[in-house]
Amino acid sequence: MSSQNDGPLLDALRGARWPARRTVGAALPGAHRSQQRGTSGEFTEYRLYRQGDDPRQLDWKLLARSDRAFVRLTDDHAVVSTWFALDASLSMAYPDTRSAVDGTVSKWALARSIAVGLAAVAHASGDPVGLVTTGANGPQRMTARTRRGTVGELARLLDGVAVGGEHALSPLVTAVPMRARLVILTDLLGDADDLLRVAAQRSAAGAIVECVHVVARKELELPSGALLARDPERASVERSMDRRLHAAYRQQFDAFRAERAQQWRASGAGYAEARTDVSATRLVRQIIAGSGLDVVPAVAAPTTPAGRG
Amino acid sequence: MTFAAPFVLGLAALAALVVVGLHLLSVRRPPELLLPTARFVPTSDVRAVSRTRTPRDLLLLLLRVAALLAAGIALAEPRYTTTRDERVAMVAIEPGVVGDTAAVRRLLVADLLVADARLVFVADSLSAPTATSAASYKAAQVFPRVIQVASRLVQADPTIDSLALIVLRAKPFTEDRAWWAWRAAWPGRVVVYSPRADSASAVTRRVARRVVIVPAARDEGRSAQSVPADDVVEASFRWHAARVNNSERAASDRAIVDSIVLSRGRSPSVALQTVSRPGRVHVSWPLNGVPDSGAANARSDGSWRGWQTASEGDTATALVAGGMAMMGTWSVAQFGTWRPDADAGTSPHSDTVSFSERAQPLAWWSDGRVAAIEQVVNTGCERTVAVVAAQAHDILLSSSANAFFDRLLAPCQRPSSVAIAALDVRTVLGAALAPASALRTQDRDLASDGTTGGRWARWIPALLLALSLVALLVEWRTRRADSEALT
Repeated sequence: MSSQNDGPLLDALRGARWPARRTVGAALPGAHRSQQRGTSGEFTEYRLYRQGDDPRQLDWKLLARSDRAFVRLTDDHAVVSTWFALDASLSMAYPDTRSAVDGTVSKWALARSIAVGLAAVAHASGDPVGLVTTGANGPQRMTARTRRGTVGELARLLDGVAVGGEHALSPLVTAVPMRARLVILTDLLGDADDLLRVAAQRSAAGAIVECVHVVARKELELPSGALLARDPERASVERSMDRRLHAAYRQQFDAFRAERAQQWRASGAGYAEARTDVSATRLVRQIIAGSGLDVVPAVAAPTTPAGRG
Repeated sequence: MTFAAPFVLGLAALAALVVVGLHLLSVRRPPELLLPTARFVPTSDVRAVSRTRTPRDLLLLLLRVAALLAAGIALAEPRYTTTRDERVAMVAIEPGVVGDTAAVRRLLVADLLVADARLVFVADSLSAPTATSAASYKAAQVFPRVIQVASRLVQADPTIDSLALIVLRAKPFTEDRAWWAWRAAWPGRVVVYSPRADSASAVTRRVARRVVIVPAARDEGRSAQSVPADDVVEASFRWHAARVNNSERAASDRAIVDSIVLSRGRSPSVALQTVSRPGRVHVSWPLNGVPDSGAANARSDGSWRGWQTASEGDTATALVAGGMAMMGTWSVAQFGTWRPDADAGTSPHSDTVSFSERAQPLAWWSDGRVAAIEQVVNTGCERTVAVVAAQAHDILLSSSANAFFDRLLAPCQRPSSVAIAALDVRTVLGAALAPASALRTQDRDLASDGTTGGRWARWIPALLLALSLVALLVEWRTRRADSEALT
């Protein structure tokens, strides 16, 4: 999907808001509730004065009427930088849609659309939008900014990314400012463990981390008949399968997804699964609504398959 | 159409079946799918054996099978004949079997196998140097000559389709190792006619006998040339007769006196008339070693039987008889040689040949030519020796001559002979007739062997091979196109 085709998506998301799941730190005035209080003119409540409070916050008129010292509390709103980290490894190019005629999109195309959609929503709220990604042409980074045309720049930068390569995403994620809202779009088939560790650290520090697990429909519904499945990123992984092994494969894959969802949520991050057979608009709305997108089957995860992360 | 090597065609058909089987049941790598989540597929064999439900690439399969069959037909050397396939019964008659061809036909008339088959008598198998007397004749000895005659026959006559072997045996049939060794060389059915084991005619009586040498009358044997008084041949006969009498215990009162008339210079045609007593043996040993030419036995078609005077001088290094050889420089310069009937292998139906009149060799020169024969005449037998005996030489008295004189002094073989009508034991070995193709050589020229089909016949194998190569080429191009389409 090129930037010229993002029009319908952006039109469908116009007016949408994407509030932060938790209060944000002190920053310029914005749309998200801030941990900072007292500076804005929007009254919230009174609280008894405690030693150490700023005397300037005392409501002197109330003190004069009731001879009791109360402090005026007001909520602050601030902007939050929103960074997108897109996995552009070779596995994200699946399925190959060069010759597809049924509207099938690849995992990378879906991740790109979701990123553009979320960026547009965040940018509309005045939030700075940034991007890190890595592909065949190396790591790429776009500093978070709020000026006009940022979403278009982000879309064009994503259009120029060549999917492939063996660069890990977690080092780039580490370089994202700690206070920013981080959205990771990946299929969790690469350095997923490193990403999870970074996400856990950021969540513990109070940052907002969202994980969008991109899953292709063709990964869930394999073609019938005997075939030789080969991992595009690992030539040594070569398995033959037929109809009898489909159920076993699906069981292991479901267990993997359920385990990842549980791990990410346990780390304090948000987790959502995005399938390629669902439109990007719907997925964006579900993500900003914070519905959690609990479509991952509740399958007990016995063991983690031998993954790359 | 027949094939010189039908087994090649069978091999080609078998290979085609294998190709068809492999086409329908293939062990191959399944189609490859790049799947990032391949790690979640349980480990199993990379290969997949699959039987195609609906055959695909039928054109490819057809090309392969056509190539194999075309090559098989070409290599099987097809032959095209328009005449009716003929069956031939090779009739091998052992020594001691008395009768004629008419009696053989009467014997075989009830045999459905050879009812409509052409009979070919292999009578001259007895002229082979290995032939022995009827008493010691082995059943397996018929095979070499029969196979030789049959091979020549099928080479000369392409209409022959199959052959049967009929053996007329003088003694009860017993199978030994030699029989089975030679039996394996004959690629078809063998029918052996033999007398019963208790047949009196088949048993050679072993009685004591005493040999007496009776020189022929002077007016019979010495009219042509002068015979010395101390003739070495006559002396040798007497010396060897004494030896034989000693070994035969001829002193017994029950011994049978066996007179042997020795003629030196008497022509066989005249001498045969002297053989009047039953069992009387007449030995005709011409002084100059040249029996009559046998012109009386010449036929109108140019063939002949009997002795023939050699046109040029020759020598031989040995005289072989009874498994022993008399080494020396024998002069064959003025000798005649005896040849079997020119048509012994292909006696026509209309001709009736009496086997009892057939001559049997007794001695050979080292080059295989016959040096002495025995002919059964009336109730006795006539033995003709075409050997020049040097008067000053004692080789005829040496021990190496014992076997030669044993054969000359032996009684006629008639007492141990068996009439064809007495061969009432029929032993059938094998089921199918011998195919003529098994006896044909592979280097025949199609145009010269009597096959028909015109001048194109010789090109058909080459055309089939070319067709096979073209089919393989098309198959290769088809596979290449498929592989390129996949990639």
